[in-house]
Amino acid sequence: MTDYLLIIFGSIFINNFITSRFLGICPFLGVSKQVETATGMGMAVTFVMALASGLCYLVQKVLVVLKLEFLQTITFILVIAVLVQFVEMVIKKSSPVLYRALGIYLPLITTNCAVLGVTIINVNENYNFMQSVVSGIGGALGFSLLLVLFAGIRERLELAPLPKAMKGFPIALITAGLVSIAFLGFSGFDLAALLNYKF
Amino acid sequence: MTKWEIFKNGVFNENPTFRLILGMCSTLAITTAVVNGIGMGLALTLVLVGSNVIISLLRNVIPKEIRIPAYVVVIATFTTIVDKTMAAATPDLHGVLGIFIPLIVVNCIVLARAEAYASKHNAIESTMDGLGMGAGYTVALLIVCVIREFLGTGTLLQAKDFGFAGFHFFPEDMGVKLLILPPGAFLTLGLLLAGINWYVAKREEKKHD
Amino acid sequence: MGKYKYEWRLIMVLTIICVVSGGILGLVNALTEPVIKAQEELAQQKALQEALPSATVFRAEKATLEALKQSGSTGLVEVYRGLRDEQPAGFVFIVDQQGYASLIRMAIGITQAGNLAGVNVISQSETPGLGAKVTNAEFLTQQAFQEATSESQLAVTKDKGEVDAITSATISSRAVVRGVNAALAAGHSLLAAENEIGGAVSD
Repeated sequence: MTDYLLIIFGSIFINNFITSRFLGICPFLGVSKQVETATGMGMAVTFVMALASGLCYLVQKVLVVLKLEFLQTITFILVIAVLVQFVEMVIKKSSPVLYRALGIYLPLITTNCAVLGVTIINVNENYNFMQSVVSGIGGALGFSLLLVLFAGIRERLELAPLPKAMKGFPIALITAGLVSIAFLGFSGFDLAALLNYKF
Repeated sequence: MTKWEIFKNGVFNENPTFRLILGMCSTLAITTAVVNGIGMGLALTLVLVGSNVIISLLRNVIPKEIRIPAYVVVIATFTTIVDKTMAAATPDLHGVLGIFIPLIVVNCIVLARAEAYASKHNAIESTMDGLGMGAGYTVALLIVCVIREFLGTGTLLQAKDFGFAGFHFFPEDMGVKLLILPPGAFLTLGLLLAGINWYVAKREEKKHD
Repeated sequence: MGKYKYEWRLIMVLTIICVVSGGILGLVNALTEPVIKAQEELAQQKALQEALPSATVFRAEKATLEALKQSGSTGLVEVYRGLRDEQPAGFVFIVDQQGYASLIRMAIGITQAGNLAGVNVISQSETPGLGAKVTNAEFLTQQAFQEATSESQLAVTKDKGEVDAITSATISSRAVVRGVNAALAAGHSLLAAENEIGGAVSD
């Protein structure tokens, strides 16, 4: 249990996918303009990353058995592409409003570095199946947290008097930098010691 | 457009990092040293040119409905080739760049150019576009790298793994450590982007005068 | 009838692309894999050599590792016996310790006579410019380490010891010291069992 808590806490705060690992920046800068869209996107990404983590864990196991590890990149990205198509169909049926709100950004989840990134991280860290899924969920939650946080900030930035050169991406990046400094405060957090975990 | 114009377009007018705002993840993550920028820029350019050429050659053969999965497979193949080659030839650089090499396959620049350009132009033009975009990306990376490495650690071109100690300008302790850490990446790129936006706006104004 | 044929074409093209790509990758892999493997072995050998310069051959000893783990040693990842001309020349311990922001992996060499031969940081992701400095030769070859033996129990100066910690990176430095102590204790119990040095240390 402490295992999973460590992974989740680590993925959301200590090694946040956006402020620390730099995964998922493109959709982060593109989608985070309104809180509702950001929340919807966050949920979609969480769903995809959880499933992708689990599926790619199994795919990796198969690749290892067949000694085809060099096909990792190709197979992982194909699995993710198919998964996102599937999620698109599900959202289209269940919530057409959300589907229209997300627009082009839904199929773009395929190219979200965070999704492929977390599947590769899981392999590198030698996580088992449950740990991989938990890691995927944790990473996605961290991504969503930043997305929603940022949407709130940017809704205000729209009304702020800024020099023309700063409007849009520059101020978004600088704000992200300030948020990143704040999150740096988590980096020395020894949750393991807090939970009396024995190494 | 002439071939030279296609190339220049990728470096200046449609610079993927500064104008198209693509490929941000890698630009922020690996730009802590100039040698990283050179390595990453080279890797991406190789994948970009390779995939542009193949997709351009196959553009009349690939049916529209499956074009995205097909492009992805081609790009993933080139990414893996570059990945394995770098692991064999430059293992230390490969270790530093880490997961961002396999992540080239989802680097927005590559897929965007495949969809927007290579699928609509011939192989020679696609090659020039790939080289131009790759060069533009590398130039952008290098600018960020130089700022972060120089002000952050006081060195340039430090490549310990290649046996090159780099140029030392001032002691490491005097460096702005924040620039080497994640926030430094965001702040540097944000301010650079603002600067470029300002410059482009000024040039537009001059044109209208 | 026409639409049915078109879907087959879609699948065919995609399959051909996948198969050709897979084939090309298989070729590239066959060419690069031996080189990559050779380099990994070289890097491993280099790390072990730096930890225990007096040895030329290193042999992993899983059984010894398990025995040490059973008797309470924490943080040990691998145990290598160092040999020179077929004669035992000491041990190298691969130890993991939690630093400030990451796990620090070290290779620590103990000579057959019970002296600390070398400390080598293999991997870490500490704060650049601060904790990351534990990889500096200045820190790793300091006097406290040079003079340590398997009976030493080291500590940073803040904890009333003799090890000079990296400025503003006490936690990272402490992790390295913990790792060294674990290796020294393990080395002591192994060497005592071989009657190289007298007395056993109880954990």
